[in-house]
Amino acid sequence: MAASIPMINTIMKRILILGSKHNTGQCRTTNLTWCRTLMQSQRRYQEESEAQENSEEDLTPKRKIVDPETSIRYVHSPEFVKGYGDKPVWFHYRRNFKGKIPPPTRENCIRQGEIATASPCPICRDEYLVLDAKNIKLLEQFICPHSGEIFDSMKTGLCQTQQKALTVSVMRAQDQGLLEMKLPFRTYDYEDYKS
Amino acid sequence: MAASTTFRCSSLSSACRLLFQKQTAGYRQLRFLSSSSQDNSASDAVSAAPENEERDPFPVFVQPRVQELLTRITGFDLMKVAGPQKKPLQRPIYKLMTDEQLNAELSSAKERLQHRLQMPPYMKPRRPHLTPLSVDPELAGFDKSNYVFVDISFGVKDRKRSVVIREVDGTLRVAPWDVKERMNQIYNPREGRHVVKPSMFEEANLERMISEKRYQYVLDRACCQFEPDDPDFIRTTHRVYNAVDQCGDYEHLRSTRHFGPLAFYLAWHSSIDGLLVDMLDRDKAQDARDLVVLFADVHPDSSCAAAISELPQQDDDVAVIKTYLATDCKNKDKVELSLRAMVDSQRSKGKTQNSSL
Amino acid sequence: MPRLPQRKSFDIIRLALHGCTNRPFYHIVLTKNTRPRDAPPFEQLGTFDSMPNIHNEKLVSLDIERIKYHLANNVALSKPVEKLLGLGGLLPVFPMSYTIAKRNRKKMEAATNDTEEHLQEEDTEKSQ
Repeated sequence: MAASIPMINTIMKRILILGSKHNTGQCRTTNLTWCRTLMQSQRRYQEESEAQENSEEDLTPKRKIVDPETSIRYVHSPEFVKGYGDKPVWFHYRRNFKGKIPPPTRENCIRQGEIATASPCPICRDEYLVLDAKNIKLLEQFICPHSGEIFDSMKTGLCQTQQKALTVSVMRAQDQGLLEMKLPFRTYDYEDYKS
Repeated sequence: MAASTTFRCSSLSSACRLLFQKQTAGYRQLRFLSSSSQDNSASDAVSAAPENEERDPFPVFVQPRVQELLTRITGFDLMKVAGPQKKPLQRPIYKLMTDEQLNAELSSAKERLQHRLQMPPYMKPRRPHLTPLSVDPELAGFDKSNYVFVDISFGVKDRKRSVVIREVDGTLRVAPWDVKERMNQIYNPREGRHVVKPSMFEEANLERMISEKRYQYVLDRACCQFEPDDPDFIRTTHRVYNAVDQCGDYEHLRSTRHFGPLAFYLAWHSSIDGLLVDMLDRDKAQDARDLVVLFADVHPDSSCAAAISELPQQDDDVAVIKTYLATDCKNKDKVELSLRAMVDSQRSKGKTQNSSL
Repeated sequence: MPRLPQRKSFDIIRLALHGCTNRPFYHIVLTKNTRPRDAPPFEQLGTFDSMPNIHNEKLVSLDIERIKYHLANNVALSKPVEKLLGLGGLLPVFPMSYTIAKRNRKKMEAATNDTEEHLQEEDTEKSQ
C-alpha cells in the first residue's frame, strides 16, 4: 500500500515569478524564472486513512532547516543572482488578497515545520534565506537605503514571524556594529564639564 | 494645603523621636540631597588623586587659543560636513541662481553647519567614589536588594543628577558611575544612547570595526553612548586615534568633529610627527604650523615652546616647523624630507606663476 | 437626622499602586487622604518599583525639590513613604526599618545555624 502513491500526493509546484500577468498598472517585464522547485509536503495533501497507513519515513521531509553560514554563502553565490537578479528578494513577490486595500500580512507561513500556505512570504518560500545578524547582505535588502528604516511588512510581504525575526536580527547587527544605525548629533555644553 | 501638625506627629511616637535625636548627627551628613543646584560630588569624597598624577587635559583643551588652532586644523569641506544624511526620499528642489546668490547661499550654509564641527571634550578618566555617605550596620539585612534613589527634579542636568544607593549592608553611598549612567538613561532617555552598553565597544568587535576603517561611525556612536570622561569612551577614542595615526588615515577624520580631539591627543602624547608629515605632503603649511604651535601650547615647559616664543617672525610657517625639528621632533628624517619636498613644490609653483605672468 | 461628621481631610504623600497582575509598580503621589488610592492625584512626586531588576536593585525616583517644598508645608507622609525617604537619606531612617533589619538578621542566623547542624549531623553519620 505504501508503494502506490496517488497522483494528488505528487504535487510539485514550480512557482514562476513573472508577475506581469497579474499587474494591471505597472509594467514589470521580467524574465526571471524560479530556478528551484519548492516541494509542498505530501503530508498536507494525503487523506486521514492514508496518514495512518504511511509511516513517517515514506513521506518527504519537512522544510529543510539551514544554518546561517550556509545562508550567507548562498546569498553571495551565483545561484542567488540567477534566481533573484539584482533586485531585492521581496521585489517580485505579489500578495494574493481580495480588494484594493491590502490587509496585514499573515502571522505564519510555516506550521509544524512545513510550509502551510500556497503563497509563502519571500523568506519562508526559500529555505536558504535565513535572517541572522551576520547575514548582512540579506538584511540590507529589507532596509531603506535613504531613511535607514526597516521596510514595513506591507511593502515586502513578509509574514509577521519573519518580520519580527528581521527586526531582531537588524537590532543585533546594529548592536555588534555590523550594520550602521542612524545616529543623532550629540551637542555638548562645555560648561557642564568645567566643574 | 493647611494640614494640622498633629497628623504629621502622630506617625512619630516618642520612642521614635529619641531615635531621631540620635540620628541628627548622621542626618547632618546627609546634605547631598539638598539643593539640586549643588554638585553632589563636592560634599562626598571622590577617591583622592595621587600626588604624581598626570595633569588634567580639559582646561588646556578649552582654552580659546587651543580651540582656535584645532578648528583651523580641522578645516571645512562643505560637501563632507553637509554630507549625505539618512532621510526619507524627497523630491529634489531646483533653483536658478546668480553667482552672487550662490555665494551667499554657500556662506549661509557654512554658518549653519558650523555647529556640526563642535568637538567632543577631551577629558581624563573619572575616578570612582570611595567614601560612603553613611555607614549603618544596624540597618544590614533590611532587604535582599539594593535601593537606588534618583533625583528627578525638574531642570536637573544628567551630570549633576543625584543618584544614591542604599546597599544591603546598610551603607548609603553615591552611586557608582555605571549605575548613574543607567539611571540617567532610564529616567531621562536620550536618542542613540542605550541602557546596556552595545557590544560594538567590546574588544573583538572594536578591533574588527577599526580594521574595516569605520572610524567616524565608531566615534560618533561613542559620543552618543558615553560621557566624555567615561573610561570606555576614552579607551575607544584613544584606540581609534592610535589606529588612525599608525595607518596614516587622517583624511578619514579631516573636516569632522573628531579631528580636533585627534590632533589634541597626538599633541598631548607628543607624537605629532605622523600628522605633520601628512599635512606637509598635502602642502598644508599653515596647518602644519598650527599643529606645532598647538604642541607648544600643550607642553609650555618644552624646549620647542621656548624656541618658538623666541622666534622673531612667528608668521613664517617653515621657520616654526624647523624650530620643532631642531628641538622635540622624534622622526626627524621623515619630517625634514616632507618639509623639503613641500618647500620645493611651493617654489616651483611660485616660479610657474611668475613665468605665466 | 444630623449628618455624621466626615473624617478629617488633609494632604498626604503616599504610594498609589499601578502596574498589573503579579507586577506591582507604585507612584509616589501627593493627594488627599480621603481620596481613592489610584484616583488622579494633585501631583506625582516619584515612582517606586518593588520588584528588583537584573542588577538586584529596586529603583526609586524622587522629585526632591517638590518633596522638600511639601514637607516644609507640613504635609503628612504614609509609612511606606517615610521608610523610603529614610532609606534614601532625605529623612532620618524610619525606626521600623531597623526592626525589620534585626528580624531578618535573626532569621538568617537561625537558617545558617540549622544548615550547620544539618551538615554536622551528615558528617557524623558518614563517619559512623
